[in-house]
Formats: sequence, structure tokens, C-alpha cells
Amino acid sequence: MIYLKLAWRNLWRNRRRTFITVGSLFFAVLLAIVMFALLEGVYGNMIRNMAGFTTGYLQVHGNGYWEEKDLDLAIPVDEALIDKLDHTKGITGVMPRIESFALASTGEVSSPVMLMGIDPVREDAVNNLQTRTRTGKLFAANDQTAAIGEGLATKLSLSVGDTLLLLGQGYHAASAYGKYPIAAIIDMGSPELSKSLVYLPLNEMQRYLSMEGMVTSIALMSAPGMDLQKELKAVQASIDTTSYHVMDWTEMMPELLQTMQGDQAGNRIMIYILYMVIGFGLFSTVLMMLTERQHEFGIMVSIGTGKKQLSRMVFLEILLLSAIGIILGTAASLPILHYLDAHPIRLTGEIADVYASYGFEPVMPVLITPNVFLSQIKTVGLIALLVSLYPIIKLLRFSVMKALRS
Amino acid sequence: MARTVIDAHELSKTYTEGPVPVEAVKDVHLHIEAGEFIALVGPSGSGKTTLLNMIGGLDEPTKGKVVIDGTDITGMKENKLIDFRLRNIGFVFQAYNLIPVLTAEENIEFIMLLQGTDKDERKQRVQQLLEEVGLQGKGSSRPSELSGGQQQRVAVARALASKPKFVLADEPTANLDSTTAANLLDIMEKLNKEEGMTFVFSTHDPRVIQRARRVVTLVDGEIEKDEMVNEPMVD
Ligand SMILES: Nc1ncnc2c1ncn2[C@@H]1O[C@H](COP(=O)(O)OP(=O)(O)OP(=O)(O)O)[C@@H](O)[C@H]1O
Ligand SMILES: [Mg+2]
Repeated sequence: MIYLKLAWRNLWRNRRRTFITVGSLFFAVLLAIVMFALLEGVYGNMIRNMAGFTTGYLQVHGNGYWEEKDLDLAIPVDEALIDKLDHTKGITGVMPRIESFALASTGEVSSPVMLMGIDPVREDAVNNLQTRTRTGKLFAANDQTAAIGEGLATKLSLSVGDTLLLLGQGYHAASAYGKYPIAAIIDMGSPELSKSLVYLPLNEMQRYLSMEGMVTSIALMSAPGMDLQKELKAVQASIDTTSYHVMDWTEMMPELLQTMQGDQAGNRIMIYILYMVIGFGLFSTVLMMLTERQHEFGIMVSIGTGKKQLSRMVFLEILLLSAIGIILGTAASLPILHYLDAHPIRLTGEIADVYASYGFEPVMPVLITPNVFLSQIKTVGLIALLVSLYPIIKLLRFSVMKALRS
Repeated sequence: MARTVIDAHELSKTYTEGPVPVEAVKDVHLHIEAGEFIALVGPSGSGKTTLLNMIGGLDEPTKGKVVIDGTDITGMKENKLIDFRLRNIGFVFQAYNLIPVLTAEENIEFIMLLQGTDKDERKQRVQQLLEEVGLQGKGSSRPSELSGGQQQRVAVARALASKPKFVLADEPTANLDSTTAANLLDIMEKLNKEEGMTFVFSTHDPRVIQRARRVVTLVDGEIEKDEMVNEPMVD
């Protein structure tokens, strides 16, 4: 207690210096949190879009399906299974799908396409297919029509109402042939998908491939920024893992993860520089604090204060100093993040065009999760601990006689 | 015969940090018994501080040994020595003795906190000591709110708080005017008489020397004179 009292009062001996140090910690923590929330928000958004259209954050499929991509490894699906997944903690979207390839043709031109059988309601809930529909109207579950990407429409010169021929291979090598009117042309989110994706209603897809009651995968979504591994475990716990396999997007799209990590490393350099500034600022404060109090420490040790106790006092001073800065910085970040969440920063110019080509709204969303705060608080806390090592070592070694003479 | 509290034996200190080695204290023998009131005098640079620091376990002798109340402290491990000082020796320095962020009371109490004295006893002793040094009512003042003389009195109270075997005071009155100095000496003398506390202090001030009952004169690090003075007149 006495050391806490000493530490606290010592902090306010040099008010100006304490204010400056706390102030620099405050701004650094504030900036780091806001930057981190923005970065996480932007990347989170990208991953969400990518995962929503392709693999899902998590995916349930048959054992071996991911490696083989073979229709014969499809899994039976029923209401009970979907319901179970719907009610798994943390899961916000469940999208049963059949994925396959086919040759699409208009009679004159043809192109290989990715075929995806989807539940239009569930898919719309995750990927906003209705709002992304550029012309026509998205099919309903029992329709026998197709929806295609804008890129493919251009490539094959198709418009709503035209007929698309699909030729492929069905379940157990049955031949698959279908003829579908185009119901909708959709902005698919990525130029890649836009050029190659064809949606069919899941029911129709099952018929077309002769695999009633089966799907190749069930893509799952969760709230962004949540702990995917926890959700993966929850999903594994709720289904029979001897016949179903669960994977997360980082396993399924390792290239995306890598690109993102590389990118983020670059962006984080800014934050690291900020940390260095914090570290040096704190260190110089501590250094001054130590030098100007040599004589006092000398007196304290002379009259019987142990060096461990002295170190504890100084350690508490640094801890308090950092804690005040961290707490204030975090507190100040809350209204700012709140504001950015409600009014995201709008991008303009080239970046905005890039975003648009991916079908994103050109804004920088923020991701507000406990981790955004915790990661910064932990890092700055760690810096404070590292910085306090120096005075502690110094104090454990210092000479009373030298100190008394100063 | 009274108990020997300090026994300095063949004590020498040579500083080798500078370009030429300085023999600050040379072969000093000094016995101090419980209840003494003794002044260390001598010209500047004669080795008073060096001697006091070695006796107080703050500085290590180059040669010889220091025995405090039967315990040889020469070569004691640092942490042990700090604890030994805490339990056996009271210190009063020339100035800036006190922890600036603690009040007078807290400065006195701090020593007892280190010793692990329980709260009731601490509080009671703090009040008693403040009274003994004539600072009742000043307990909650910070050092910066006290005069130099008052600060030195708090330092004396703090030195006594640990119930030490003796108090070492290196020029305790050097920064005080003569009235304040006399006042501090009065208090030290009273504590010596009434509680039998042993005081060893260094000084340049003739009026302070007058009050001592034994005067040890150092010249060039050696004891030149060691004389008992007749008990001053008491009224
Ligand atoms: N750390 C040191 N390094 C080198 N020489 C020192 C050191 N401390 C003291 N001395 C020298 O030792 C001698 C004795 O010094 P000391 O401080 O003990 O004298 P003093 O009697 O207390 O003097 P004063 O009355 O001025 O306080 C002096 O010559 C001084 O210069
Ligand atoms: Mg001296």
C-alpha cells in the first residue's frame, strides 16, 4: 500500500512531465486502436465478401470433398441438419450449396462456367443478391431459371429472358443437360466470379445433376471479428464429424490469407512506429525520473529501504503512468469508433473504383471487437513492462554512496 | 561499564577512483558506548563523513572492521546490510533527509512500516516522537512546507522511530541558523539524557562542539585527539 501511495504521489511531483507522458500514451493508444479497427474493418469486409460468395467462413462438406471436389462425395442434407447449424452458437448464415462445373452455351458462343445451386433466400441474406441484381429479378426456390454474373452476360452477350444451355456431368457420372432462361444478371463482387458464376435454384440443380436431397457443401457465416476457431469447435460439436468435415476459410483459401497477411504487415508498420514512439517517450521519462531522484533513493536505501521495495515503487509508477494513458486513450477511442461505425470514411478516386469493381461500397468500415482494444492494450502494456525493466535493473545495482553524493 | 555499541578496529579507507589514491581514513580505532553523546570534528576533508559512513554500514572499509553491538558488519551482503541498518542504526543527513512526497508523520511511520511494526503501535509512536521533537500539529505537513530546522527535527524523529542502537548524524546543523541549530541540539541532548539514545555527529560548528560530552578530532584521516568533556551544566 505504502508503495502504491508513494508511486501515485511521485507521479504528480512533476505534473507537466506526467501530463506530457500520459498525453503521448493517450494519443498513441487512441491512434493505434482507431487504425487497427479500420484495418481490421477493411480486411474483415474483404474476407467477408470473398468468403460469403465462395467458401463461407466455415464450410461443412463430405470427408475428402475439399481435396477431390467430386460430386460423388456430396452429402445428404435435410431440414434437421440445417436447423442444427442454424442454431449453433455464433453462426449467422447457413447456405447449403451444390458446386459443379459445366459448359455454358448460347447456341453460338460457349464458355466454361462455375455452377452453383443455391437457396435464394439464404444466399440473399448473406450476399445481398437482390440489391446486387442489375437487371431482372432473382429466382425463387422452386423456379427453373438461372442468374448469372455481369461479366458472363457480357462475354456471352446474354440478357434477361435469353436462354442458357448447360452441359456437364451429374452425380455418378450421369450426363447432365439443362436449358434455363436468364432471370437475373448480378454484380458478383469480384471480376473473377462475375465472368464465370452461374446460379441455379438448389432444387433445380439437384434435379439437373440427378442428386435429389444432396449438397456438396454447406457454407457458414458468423459475425465478423468473432473467434472462428471457437465457432468451428461449436459446429464440430453439433454435427456428426465421422461423415462431415468442417474447415475454415484460412484452410480453404490460403492464398487469400497470405495476401492479406502480407498487406497487413505493411500497414501495421505505421502502428509499430507508433509503438516505438511510445516506448522511447516512456523510456526518457523514466530515465529523467531516475536521474533526478538519485539522492532521494540513496537516502531511502540508507535508512533501510530494500532495493526490491524501491524497484517495486518505481515499477508501480511506470505502471500507473501507462495505465492512465491506456485507459484514457481507450476511453477516447470509443466515441470515435462509434462515430466511424455510423459514418464510415468514404473513399474517392482510384481506390473507390477498385472497390467498385469488387462490388464493394467504397467506404472504410471499422471493426469493433474486444480484440481491437485488447490487442493494443496488451501491446502498450508490454512496452511499459519492457521499459520498466531498465530502471529496475539499474536500481537493483545502484550504489548508495554514489547516490548520496549526488 | 556500559555496553560497547560501536567498535571500529584499525579502520582505513583509501579512495582509488581519482587519479591519485586518497587515504581518507587511516587506521582509526574507535569505541563508542551506549549512551554517549559524541562529536566528530576536524577540518574539511579530514575524513569525518567517510568514517561515519563506514560506521553506518554505508561504505566499505579498505581495511579493518566495524562491529556493531557484537555484530561484525564488514563484508556483509548488501541486502543483509540494508536490513541491519533498518533495525540498528538511525541516520540524519545534512539536508534533504526526508521523502518529499510523504508528510512528516508518514516519513516517521515509513521506517516502522519497513520494520513491520503494527498499525496501532506505529500511530502511537509517531505522535510521541513528533511531540518529543516539538512538532505536534505539524504531522500532516509535507517537507516542503516545513522550515529547515523542522525538517531536521523530523529526520531525528524518523531516526529514532526504528528504536536504533545509535543515531549517526553527519553535520545535522550545517544548513541551520544558530538558534535553530541550538534547538536541534537541545532535542538531541534531551533524547540522549532521557532515553539514553547514543548520538554520534560530525560538525564544524564550535557551538555544537561545546554541547558534546566527548569530542573526537580527525586530521588527515587520523584521530588526533579523543577527549571527554565535563558534563555541561544542567539547570
Ligand atoms: N568518493 C570519493 N572519491 C575520492 N575521494 C573521496 C571520495 N569521498 C571523499 N573523498 C576524499 O576523502 C577525503 C575525506 O573526505 P570526507 O568527505 O570524509 O571529509 P569530511 O571530513 O567529511 O569533510 P567535510 O567537512 O568537508 O564534510 C577528502 O580528501 C575527500 O576529497
Ligand atoms: Mg563531510
